[in-house]
Amino acid sequence: MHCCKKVSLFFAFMMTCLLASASDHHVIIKSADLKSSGEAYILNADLEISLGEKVEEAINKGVPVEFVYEFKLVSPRAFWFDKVVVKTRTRITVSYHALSRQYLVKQSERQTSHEILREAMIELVQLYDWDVFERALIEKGRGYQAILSMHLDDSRLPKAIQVEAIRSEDWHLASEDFVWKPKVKWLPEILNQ
Amino acid sequence: MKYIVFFSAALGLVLLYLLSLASANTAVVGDYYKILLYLNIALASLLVVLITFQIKSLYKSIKNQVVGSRLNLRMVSAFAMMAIIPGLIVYLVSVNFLSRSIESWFNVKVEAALDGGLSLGQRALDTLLDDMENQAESMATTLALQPGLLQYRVLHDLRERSGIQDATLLSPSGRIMAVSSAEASSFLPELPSVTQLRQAQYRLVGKVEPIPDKGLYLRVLVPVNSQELTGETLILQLLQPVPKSLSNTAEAVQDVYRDYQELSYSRNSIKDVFKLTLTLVLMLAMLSALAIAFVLSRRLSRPLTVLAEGTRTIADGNYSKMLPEHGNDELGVLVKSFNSMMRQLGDANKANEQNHQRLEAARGYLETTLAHLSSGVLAINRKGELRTFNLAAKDILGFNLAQYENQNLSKIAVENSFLAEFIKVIQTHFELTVDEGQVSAEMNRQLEVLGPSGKQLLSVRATRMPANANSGFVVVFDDITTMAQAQRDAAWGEVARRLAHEIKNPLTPIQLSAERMQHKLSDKLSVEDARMLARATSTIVSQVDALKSMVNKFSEYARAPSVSMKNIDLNQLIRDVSGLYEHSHADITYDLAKVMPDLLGDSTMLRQVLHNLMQNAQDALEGQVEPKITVKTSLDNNATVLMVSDNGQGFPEQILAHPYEPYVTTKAKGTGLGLAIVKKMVEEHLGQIFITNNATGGACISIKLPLKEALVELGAQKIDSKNKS
Repeated sequence: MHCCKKVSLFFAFMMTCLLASASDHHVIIKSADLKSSGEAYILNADLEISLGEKVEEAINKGVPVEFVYEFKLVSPRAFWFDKVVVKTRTRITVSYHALSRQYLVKQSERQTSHEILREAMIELVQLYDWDVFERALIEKGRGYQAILSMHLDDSRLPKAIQVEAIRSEDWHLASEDFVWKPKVKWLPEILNQ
Repeated sequence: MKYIVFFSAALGLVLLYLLSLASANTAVVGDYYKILLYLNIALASLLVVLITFQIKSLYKSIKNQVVGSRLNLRMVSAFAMMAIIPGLIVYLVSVNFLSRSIESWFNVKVEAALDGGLSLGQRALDTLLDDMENQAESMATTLALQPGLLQYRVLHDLRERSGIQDATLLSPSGRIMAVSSAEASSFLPELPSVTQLRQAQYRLVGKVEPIPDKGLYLRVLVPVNSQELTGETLILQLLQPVPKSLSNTAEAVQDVYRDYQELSYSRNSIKDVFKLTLTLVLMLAMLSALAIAFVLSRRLSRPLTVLAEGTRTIADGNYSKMLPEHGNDELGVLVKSFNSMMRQLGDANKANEQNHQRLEAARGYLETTLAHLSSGVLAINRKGELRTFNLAAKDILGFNLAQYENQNLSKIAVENSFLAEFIKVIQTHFELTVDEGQVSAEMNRQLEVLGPSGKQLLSVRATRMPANANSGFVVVFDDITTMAQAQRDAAWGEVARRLAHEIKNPLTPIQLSAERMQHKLSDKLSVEDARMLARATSTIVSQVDALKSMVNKFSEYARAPSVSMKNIDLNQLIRDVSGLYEHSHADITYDLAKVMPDLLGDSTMLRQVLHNLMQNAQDALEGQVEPKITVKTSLDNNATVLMVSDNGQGFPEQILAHPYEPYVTTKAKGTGLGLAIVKKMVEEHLGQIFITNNATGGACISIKLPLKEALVELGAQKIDSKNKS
């Protein structure tokens, strides 16, 4: 009995460790939605990101960390691979500017600065008005599937850290595919409304 | 295989070069660091597979005892040692050196200096910002006192006066109310973020901000509380670039600081990168060296392998296989000399073989000649031992000589006593010539030998062989029994024929004269005289008749009878003849074999033989108390045996010695030709006749006649021997 207790304790400890390590860093896409805006569809999404100790430490030491958001619109086909209608990416880089003691978040041309990292992270977890595709791409009578995913791009990291990223789980920060059926409509249908 | 190895090695070199470049932080290849790493690892695995394959094939060839494989192994081991040991030493030293030197990059002083530099920059920027904040506050106070419409002009003046680049008045929602800029080119000022705007409604917000493409800026937001009652709170934003000299220096310090921090953060990783690169370098180098060692050692050991193979073929007796030419180096020369040696050996061997064949042919010729010689030949060596003999020797002597091969002649004499004299004669001559060294001495003797098949007359010649031919002896001997017999028979025949001729001629006139004398004188003589005359003439006539019959017998003996061979049932023949002896005074018993195959013979002759034998027996039993004759037939191997025996006196000793000589008789009236004729006739049938005395008394004559099948074989031999004689 005593032995059993020990074993169960050990397992409980292991599980806790696992959970701890799992919850230490993670990316979850909580929601995502496509909206029509003018001639295009735009994407809004809500994520939950926990960078983990290692990545945060690296950012604080000045390592720029880049996140890639990938959006895919696919049209399922009966006896073949799904047709990829749209595949687009956007990159958001987080870095620490030691001179101004600010965290800079840069998405293409746009750059914002934040006093604290948590504030900067808000830029990462909330995607607003990402222009993903033209409305004209939607065809009549087809079903569509939208897929959103996000990951830390370790190929843009400094080489030394790349090597560490290969062997360390801490740098493996990626969401699972968030798949949903968007309410997209053929252009004339919208015009008719 | 060779090309694969060299290709892999070359690929490895290229990859290693790229990897080392990547490790050294070169921007171009740096991005592909991971790919290069994987490629290198893949190549290393490929090499491992390659080497495993090579080791396996080497192991297999060693197991199969392929020539040169062990040498190959030894060379591979030597090469591998030569590559691996220095490689390992260099590797260990460099890894140690690297990790130590990397550690030395990071020290407290550098870090403190960098920290100081950075905080100096920050302090400078803070001072600038403080100044700007003060200016902003006084500007805000000034602006607050101005009515709304004048604000732009005042703003412009204030900005000009303070020397600030951009001044903007914003509504709390971020709408631009008024802008004044020293830069004519900029239409829109850099707007603050929503958060900043919100904060700025209540208090002053000052920040150093890097603006993309523009550099480092100082941004101050300050609320302008309008004195007007309806007036809402506006926000004044001042934007001033940090002086280039300062910002550049500060940015440079920051960059270095960041790089340092980055390096310090990943120092273990850097060490790992270098170690990994070094390890890969070592592995690839080692593995390539090993793979190349295999190829090289095979290349080096190939001529030796070829030589060993050549030696083996020579050992197997194959001289025809030439080794392939191999370059101009020492090994090539070796191969060439080996080839010429092989050619010479081959030629020598061929000549040897030809000689051997010639010798064999000569031997075969000699053997065939010896085997088909009718004379018996015995070869005797220097020690008096039997060396060889031919088939005829075996046939003449009547026993197998093979068992006496390489044994002394005396042994033959001991075990076959009838040859004692024959051997003695040979040995005597042998000893004589050995002692005196008379090489040319030749012995020629005739010997009578009583062999198992009867009396044999042998003509023996013995000659010493020349000294160089093992200086032995050759004994050549012929069985001249038949020849001697034939000569004797012929002589007797001639005598008989002449005698018959000479005697027969006067007989008829004697008889006729006697008869005539009686016819003429019987009437003229007195009764007494006439009776005497009659008695005398009848005596003359009867004696002449007897003489005539004797002469006829002589001529019969002398005449060469023409034999007409037919199938004969011997038993039937005996039964036919027995009729004539029904009234004989002797008691005749017939004991005939139940099964008697036909034999090939002349019925008249055989009938004559039977008559003669029966007559002889009857004559021998004259005056015997209980005369008895037994006629018996039986089968003995391939021959029929006819035996006629009686219970008379038997043959006297002197007759037994020469029973078949003509004119040898025991009878008062006999001519002595009976048995001679019988023997002649039996010989015509290729048969044998044996004369013995019974143990219980009486004589026994047996005749052995070959059966039809055996006759064919025997006939051929006899005809041969006859022709020779």
